[in-house]
Amino acid sequence: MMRSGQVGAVKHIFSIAAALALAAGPLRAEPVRVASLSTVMADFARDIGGDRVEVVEIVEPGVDPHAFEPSPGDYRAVAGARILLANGMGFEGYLDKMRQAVAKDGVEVVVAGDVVEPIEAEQACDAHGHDHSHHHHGSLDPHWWHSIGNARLVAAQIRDAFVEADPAGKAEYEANAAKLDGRLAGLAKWVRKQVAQLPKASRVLVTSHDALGYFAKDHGFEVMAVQGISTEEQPSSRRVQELIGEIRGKGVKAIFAENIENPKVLSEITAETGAKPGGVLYADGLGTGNAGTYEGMMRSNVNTIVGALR
Amino acid sequence: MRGFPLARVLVVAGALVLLGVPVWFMTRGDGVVAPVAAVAKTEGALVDYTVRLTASAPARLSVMVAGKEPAESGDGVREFQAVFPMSESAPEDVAVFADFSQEGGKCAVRVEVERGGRVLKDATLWGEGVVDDVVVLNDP
Ligand SMILES: [Zn+2]
Repeated sequence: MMRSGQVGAVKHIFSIAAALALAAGPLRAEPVRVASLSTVMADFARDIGGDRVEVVEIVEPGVDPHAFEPSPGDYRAVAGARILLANGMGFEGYLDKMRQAVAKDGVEVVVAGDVVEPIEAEQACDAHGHDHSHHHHGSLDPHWWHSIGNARLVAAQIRDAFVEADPAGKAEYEANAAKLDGRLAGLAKWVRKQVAQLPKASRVLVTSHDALGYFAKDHGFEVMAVQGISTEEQPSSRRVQELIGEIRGKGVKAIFAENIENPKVLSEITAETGAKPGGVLYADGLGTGNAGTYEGMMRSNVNTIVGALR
Repeated sequence: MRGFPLARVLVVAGALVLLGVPVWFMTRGDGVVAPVAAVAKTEGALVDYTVRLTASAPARLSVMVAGKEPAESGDGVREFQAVFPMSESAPEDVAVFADFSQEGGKCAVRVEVERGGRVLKDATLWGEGVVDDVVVLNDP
């Protein structure tokens, strides 16, 4: 039996140990701060980083990323981050400026365009020269995430950046990234099976702007877009007339709208061609609800496309 | 211009009808254009593609191609083949399904696609229980 003095001492030791344990808790480093200009990369970062990272979305779902201009507050948020995630390939027109602005803060910039297999931007907007702006021959299509193969490359790139910034989390980042990669492989197979239901002759995507080139390349679709590679480009009336002719000529069944912004002529084209509205596609990144994750967004797009063209 | 509202309505209505007739004649052809062109898109001679499946264990096998009846084997076969007439320039994707539910462990199905005696694709798909995937013939 212990005397009361001994009991007191034991209690004391326990409370010191408890205090030490509490103090040791925060020994686990502060989360790695990650700023993201890409809703898709933010989703991967949350998956791979788990509790070890804190993701700040500078460009949020539902915002038109082509029209987005960072505020001084956004610059401050990026400067306070360890890692900045960006699409590159001209998607963020302000990226070079931002990179320079935060260079002194030691922000590591991870650009998807450095690892994906790029495709050239289609000359969809105005093949006839006039009225034209952002993309020129030889420019790349920045909407890389519509190819799941690219998504897997970028997920691996983010994993590597996290391991470098926080080597203590290596095992966790690698395990999370492996799980994500397995899910992406499963998603790719699911997409193949869905698309296989569509005859080749039906694989025509008439969309608001030219964002689905990577998806089209992977699955043998032809893209006919009202606008060019950016939502900022407005179609000429001549382009609209051409498009109406092509849509009729090919007997295209459906025309797709986008979740963010649609040019007014889209409904005009739908009415004039007799094609039905095919539903809403997430062209420029994640949406909300079911389309709030990369996998959900891809499933939603593929279900919409296959459902309307079948 | 005051006075005869009914007469004016009749004149306007008459003018609209007169305008409408030529417009109707000019635009009515549009509906006919699409189907003709849609047929044109699937042009090109059809040739026979033979899809041959070889399973690592007894299974129920099937092959699906867009726009055609699926071909299915009975239960417990190791080999199965089906022929699909498809466009020479743009053949459809070939979806393969193998049900190995009687088997335990890893199973495989080999998919060979032949056209005119030439093997276009030779792929092996792996899985457990159910093996299914899509074989794309001419890579886009
Ligand atoms: Zn876009």
